[in-house]
Amino acid sequence: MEFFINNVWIIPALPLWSFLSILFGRALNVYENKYISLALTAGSTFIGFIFSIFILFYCINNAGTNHQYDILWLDTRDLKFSIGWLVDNLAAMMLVVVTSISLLIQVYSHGYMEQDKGYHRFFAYLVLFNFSMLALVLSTNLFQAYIFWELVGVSSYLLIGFWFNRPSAAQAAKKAFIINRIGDFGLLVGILALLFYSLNWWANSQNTLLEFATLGQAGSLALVNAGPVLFGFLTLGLLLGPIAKSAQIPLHTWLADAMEGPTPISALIHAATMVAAGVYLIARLYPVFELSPQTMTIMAWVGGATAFVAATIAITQTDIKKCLAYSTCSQLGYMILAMGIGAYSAGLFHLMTHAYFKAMLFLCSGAVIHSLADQQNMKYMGGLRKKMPIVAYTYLIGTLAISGLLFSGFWSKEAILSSLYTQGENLLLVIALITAFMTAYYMFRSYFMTFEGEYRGHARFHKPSKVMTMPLIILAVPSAITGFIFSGNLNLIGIKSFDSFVFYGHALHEAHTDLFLPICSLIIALLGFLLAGIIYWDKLKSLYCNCFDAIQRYTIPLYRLSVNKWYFDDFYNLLIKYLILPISEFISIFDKYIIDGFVNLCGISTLYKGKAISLLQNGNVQTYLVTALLSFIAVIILIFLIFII
Amino acid sequence: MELGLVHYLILAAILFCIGILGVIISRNIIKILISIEIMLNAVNINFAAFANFGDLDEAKGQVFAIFIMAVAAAEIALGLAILIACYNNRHSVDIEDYTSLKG
Repeated sequence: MEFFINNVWIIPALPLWSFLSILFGRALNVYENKYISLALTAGSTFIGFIFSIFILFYCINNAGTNHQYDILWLDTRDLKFSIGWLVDNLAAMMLVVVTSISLLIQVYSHGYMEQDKGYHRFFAYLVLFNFSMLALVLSTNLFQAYIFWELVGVSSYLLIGFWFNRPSAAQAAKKAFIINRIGDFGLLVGILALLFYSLNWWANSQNTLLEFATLGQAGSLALVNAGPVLFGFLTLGLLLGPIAKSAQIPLHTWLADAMEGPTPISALIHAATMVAAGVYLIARLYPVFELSPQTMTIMAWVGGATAFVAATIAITQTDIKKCLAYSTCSQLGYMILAMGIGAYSAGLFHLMTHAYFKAMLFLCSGAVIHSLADQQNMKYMGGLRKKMPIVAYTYLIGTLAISGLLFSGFWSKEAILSSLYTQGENLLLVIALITAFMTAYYMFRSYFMTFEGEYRGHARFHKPSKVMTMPLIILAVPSAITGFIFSGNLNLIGIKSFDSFVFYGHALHEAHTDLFLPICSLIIALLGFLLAGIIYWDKLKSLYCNCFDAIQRYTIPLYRLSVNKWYFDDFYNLLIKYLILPISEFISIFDKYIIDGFVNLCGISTLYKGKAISLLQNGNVQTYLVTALLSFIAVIILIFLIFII
Repeated sequence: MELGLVHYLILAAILFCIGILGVIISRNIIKILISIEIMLNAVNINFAAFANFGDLDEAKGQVFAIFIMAVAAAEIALGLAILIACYNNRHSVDIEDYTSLKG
């Protein structure tokens, strides 16, 4: 067991090696066979998965494992930057989640991308993402985390724009990257400010600069140095990074557009792992955030607002991937909300369960899209349950899980709701419950539209291959049971609850004696299910057709609001067009005429000086000789003056 | 008055200056070549003078002077050959007609 902990660096190192192998594959003959890329990618992830499993068991058996190893990287006299790896319970949990989902999605990608010309490029990007994500999870300090945070963003950019000859994909990639830059700017400013205000503390202690383990002490010193207001802004800056990465309001607009990438990417990066990195970073920076109650409140409200708004948008989406994308947004909102109210374990628990079932849902949608020749609109689907039962039933499991009906989503969502209840955040609790209702509604809506009723499309159907359905079946298992296993109900047979494994401060053991809330949330989810069934299940549709039209007439403004995504994109476009572009054009005058003018002046003056001097070189030998002679005499006189007088 | 080393050196310096002046102010290339010969001979006088006053046993200076004469003869032959080649092209022995070597 010690072996795995001590050699944890292998987990990110292997994907890096695979990435380089595929990158330089032309020289290494990787491109001759598709299975070589697949074997390199999936093999490296598989070894990482084995390592992660052992590390997880080690951490479960040895409470309080905190294995940290640092390598000095940059040593200026005052600042000593290190990179290294840190294994604790949180990292062990994340490692298992990331490697297991990555592995299945890489296998699935083989089926999905087999006919694509960019097969090897796809796997190179995929494994690059894997490397950066694992290294981010294992980071010991904030600087290292920031480096890999950016790398994760880059690989996301590359993969969204994978089909870069489609203008929409190229635009979406740009949008994702730019919006993430806004967040990363805040994060960087936050990191630098935190470092600035706690520099003395780091200099006096022997700790690695900005390491997560002692961030709390440094943070409290920074609070004293900066004062509460400035410190609040500092933590808000830090929060901006996770807000952008986890697609929270107001920086959430990139996530739906990111669905332009191949579906396995949507599953891996934009649903299961990368977007969860924001929540992960919040968990790592928790000691700092905790010092600023205002930031925690803002975090909770941002999460709550995102959960609500994204759910309302998801209700009217007809693109199956966009619907899932907004549901991801909404679920990430739940996690951030949980972090904001101090329910650290509940948020991370939801991260874990959500990663599995959302990855599975996306893979199901990918199988559907692949089978229907790239048809993404749910209006042209329907009745697919009979044609692809495996996909339909796994999608149903995922739908039940995300709606909070019995499967793993129920337990994690219930943990968040009960935390809200015990903290007395009633308004947020109501928002969360309404969101739960909408979640059940839109997820069942998508299920009914896709898999039930009659087939409404025209595309010719072809069956998904085994390599695509196997990962679905495997993913269905954790989607169904992880919630229950780690819910604490299996204490008797020795499996501990999640909140006694990953926790902040001291472990909370809340006995769920109050059955009111779980039953309430179940009923709400059931209501959502029924509503979706009434509206979208064709067998029931004939009963209510008339009154349905009436309802529709009264809700048209709300419908418009939802289908236009609350006008966020339009608002941003206006903002850019009428505010940011004029300002930047004004600033560009300064750039064009003053900065460029200075540079051009240097160039032109050199040019004319050169021309003036070149007049001396007229080709007349005697002039040269005179010049040489006079210079010689001048040198002699100079030497005479210096040495003799 | 007895002739000393200094007198020889002054003579050599005067000859050298005449040579430089000739190179600088004359337009005819043949005159320039002759002036260069004068400069070389000024150097030869220096060699011979130093040898006569300083190094009586080995006479290295005189040997060097003879070498320089031989080299100067070769050089002037080469110079005149180049000049003839140039003259065939431009029909001129005026130095101011040969200014093509410039940037």
